Amino acid sequence: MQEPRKSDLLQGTLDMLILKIVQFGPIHGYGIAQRIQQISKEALQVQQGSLYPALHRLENKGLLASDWRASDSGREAKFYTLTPQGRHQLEAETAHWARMSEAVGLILRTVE
Amino acid sequence: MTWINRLLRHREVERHLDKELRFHFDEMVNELCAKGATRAEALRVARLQFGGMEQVKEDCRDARGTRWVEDLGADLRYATRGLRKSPGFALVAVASLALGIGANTAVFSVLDYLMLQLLPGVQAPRELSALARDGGKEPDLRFSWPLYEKMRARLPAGTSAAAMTPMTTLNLAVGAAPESVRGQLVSGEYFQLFGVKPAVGRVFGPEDSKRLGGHPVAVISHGYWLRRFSGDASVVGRAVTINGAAMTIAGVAQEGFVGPHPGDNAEVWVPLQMQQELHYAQNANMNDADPKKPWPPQRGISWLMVFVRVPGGTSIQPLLDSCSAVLHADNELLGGLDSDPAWREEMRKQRVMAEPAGKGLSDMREAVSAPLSVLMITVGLVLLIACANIANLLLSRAASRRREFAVRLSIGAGRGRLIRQMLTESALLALLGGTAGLLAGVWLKDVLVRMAGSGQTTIGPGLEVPMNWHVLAFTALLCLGAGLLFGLAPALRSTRADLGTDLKSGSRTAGHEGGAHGRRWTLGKLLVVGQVAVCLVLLVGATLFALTLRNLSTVDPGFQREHVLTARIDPRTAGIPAERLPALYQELLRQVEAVPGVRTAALSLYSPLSGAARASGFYIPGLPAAPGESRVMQVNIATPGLFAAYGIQFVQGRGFTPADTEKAPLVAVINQAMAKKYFGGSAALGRQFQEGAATPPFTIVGVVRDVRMNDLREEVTPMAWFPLSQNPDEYLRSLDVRTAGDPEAMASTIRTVVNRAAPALPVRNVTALSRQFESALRQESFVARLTAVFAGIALLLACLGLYGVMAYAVSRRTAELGLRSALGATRGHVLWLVMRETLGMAVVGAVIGLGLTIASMRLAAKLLYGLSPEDPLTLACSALVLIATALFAGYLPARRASRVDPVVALRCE
Repeated sequence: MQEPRKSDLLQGTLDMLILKIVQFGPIHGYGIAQRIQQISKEALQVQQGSLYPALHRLENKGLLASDWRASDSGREAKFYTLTPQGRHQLEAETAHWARMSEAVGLILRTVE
Repeated sequence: MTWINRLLRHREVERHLDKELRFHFDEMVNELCAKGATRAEALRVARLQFGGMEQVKEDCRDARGTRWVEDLGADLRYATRGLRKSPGFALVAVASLALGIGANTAVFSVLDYLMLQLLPGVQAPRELSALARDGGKEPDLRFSWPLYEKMRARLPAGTSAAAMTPMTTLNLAVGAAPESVRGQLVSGEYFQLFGVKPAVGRVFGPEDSKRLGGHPVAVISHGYWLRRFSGDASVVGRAVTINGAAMTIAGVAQEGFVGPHPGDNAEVWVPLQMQQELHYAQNANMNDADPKKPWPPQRGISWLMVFVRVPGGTSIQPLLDSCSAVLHADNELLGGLDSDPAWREEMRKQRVMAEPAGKGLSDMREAVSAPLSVLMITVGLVLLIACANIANLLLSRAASRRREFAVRLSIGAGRGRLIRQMLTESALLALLGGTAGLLAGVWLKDVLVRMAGSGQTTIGPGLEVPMNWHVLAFTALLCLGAGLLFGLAPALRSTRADLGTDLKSGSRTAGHEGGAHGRRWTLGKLLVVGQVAVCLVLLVGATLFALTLRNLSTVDPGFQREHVLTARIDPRTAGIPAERLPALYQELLRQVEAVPGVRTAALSLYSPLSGAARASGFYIPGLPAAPGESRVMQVNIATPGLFAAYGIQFVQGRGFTPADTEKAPLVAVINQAMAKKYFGGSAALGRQFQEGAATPPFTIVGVVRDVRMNDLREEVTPMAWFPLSQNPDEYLRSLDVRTAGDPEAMASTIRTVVNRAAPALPVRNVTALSRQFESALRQESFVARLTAVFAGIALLLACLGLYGVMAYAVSRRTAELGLRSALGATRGHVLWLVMRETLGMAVVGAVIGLGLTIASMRLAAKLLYGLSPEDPLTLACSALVLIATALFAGYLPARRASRVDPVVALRCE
């Protein structure tokens, strides 16, 4: 496996972003990628190679649930929803992120 | 969806994954089209953006967390396919494993049953101990009834005890059908102590050992109840006759309980207060006692074993101290009667010891523990050799797949993944071999049980060695260990990342092993060296056991074993009163001697090698024993024909004559060992000795050659024969007949004649003495045969391994050898080149093996006879045989190497 290892922060961040998007309502994988791109004003691009493994991992952990339903285009797609456990995880991670960014910000400001 | 669900619906999961990604891809294309791109362009851009669809799928599969199970399935399929493609390899591997694991399972199940398992049907068996007297010359397990009662009265709180005789043969008759059964005379606490409840009726309680001769009741075992009474509950209250005494069956013991002697199962129990009624008279120590009177009240007859139960977590010491105090008081009383100060001193030192008895007490365990351990080690080593062979086969298989592995590694397969795959293959082999081995083990175990009893410790009739979870766990562990053992090294070895070399070089010279420029000692060769070393240990062992057997069968036993028929009779358990014995004996001898083909008939207490014996102390007037010296002789009582019947030769003097009546002076015939030790050899005739200090003396009238009565290995000890005519009320147990022709052909005739002469007399074991001789050597021949078979298998396996490694090495070196021939090397030269390698492995293996042998044969020294475990001739011969066989195995590939056609070899390059 020559693929470079993603840092925990990045991976954890992607998981958190996915959970956040799914929180707004049932959504398929393509939609999640679109929403992340739109909301971040094209700053964040999610590769399929990271998105789908992350979705499957979250589902495997029981943070996401999924079912098949018709998409806007009428085709059947796999829609993900947040489980209560996922909601809990999202809250915890959001709080953690806030603390972290505040701490990092503090340090950066001090150095400046 | 739970993981198990996902596993079961693997295909659906895969379909969903595909559908999900496909949707994403199509949406991207649609969006690009909507933005105005042509369809072809959109497809191209989407593909570019999406990356490798398969790679994404792989990552998703990894994310599922059930990856390893899915992989396992794939690996198993792959391994099965691989094995099916090389059925020869699979067959050899599975068969040798099945043999190794089967043999181990069989030996272990017998070992487990006899040595490791706790007593069946007993509550908390670990709390049980057997008491023994120690401090004397040898510990013995026998106590008198009064001593037991006194000890029991002073037991510490919470502990309990019971007394019992050793297992004995009883003659049980229901109506007119007598049958020999095994049983024990026991105290009333017996069943309580073992925690055994009745299945039907009742078992004995403390009230069942109160009155001498007053408890005509019996308890039978569950197994006997099923066998003899078909499990009929109305058996309670049934009248039976045991050893001629009328008894009533009181109940049936709970299922599973068969007494405290594993391998010698009790079928009936009787209160020990019935000793006199049952004519019980077995191994006992007598001191100022009258064996003809009832035994229980006599403090001078020690005839009982005592088992105690001490609850877990409590020390047994207080119990031992209390019992020792009782024993001392008892010995003082007894010792006061004896004038020998040394003996009194010894008695004073005596203490009560305890031997853990949770596994029961078993003579058989003693007898078979050494041979079974040797066998266990032997089959373990055979399995090791088999594993080394399979490892070697796997190594060469893996080596030919090196290029495949290199490719797989270079395109991103993980090394761990490859190792796992190879281990799956060996695990599959181990599983197949183990399953076959388990089946083989179940069968082999029964063969083993049939063979395992020796002449004097035949395994009881009810013995069945069950398969239990111990054995299954052992086999499973064995499989796992074997799988790892032969799978790990090849797996590690062949997945070592050496990508460059392996990819660049062609498959022919890819391997590092075998090349002249490669390392001298490859893993494969080391395995062969190990095999040769272990093989030597087995060869030497087998040779030593075979020589032991030969030494023992050529030992001169002092009697002629051909043309003698012996039979066990039992007038005592038949309930024949002593005063009718002389008439019975006379009639018996008269009728047997009248049979055509009978030369001489005699009666005696016991026949040679039958397992029975009697011993007694003796005194020599005018020659007092040195302090601490114990004078003990083995005793037999016989009719005059005995010496002729066995062909025992007289060195001096005469045998018994009709003139040796009760009124005549008492006479004795002694053996050379006794004459030499106490009477100056040739001066023995006419000398005298006594059985007790105050009993009338015997005059020595004859000296015979030494006879090995008990065991062929023993040093012959002093022995004396006394005439029946001067001991008319002895219950003789052996009928000895010298025949003109084949003794076995006369067996049924003799049986019929005895039945006619004495209808009430049970006759058992009518066999030729030569059979008795053979069965005395059964254990030795069992060990010798089995170790020979296993050594043969080991030799074969080691040769196969050597052949495989050399053949492989030669095939790898075809080009090099061809080049050598082309440059002028002769055939002989090439032959030697290859043979030198074989010789090197064999010699190094043999040298290591010699070291191992010398270290390990000490364990087996106890089983050898007439030679030392380091017998140089055996060592040298075994090593030579091994090296010669190895050279033969190496010759075939070497010859092939020498015939390599240089043109062909070079063209391959």
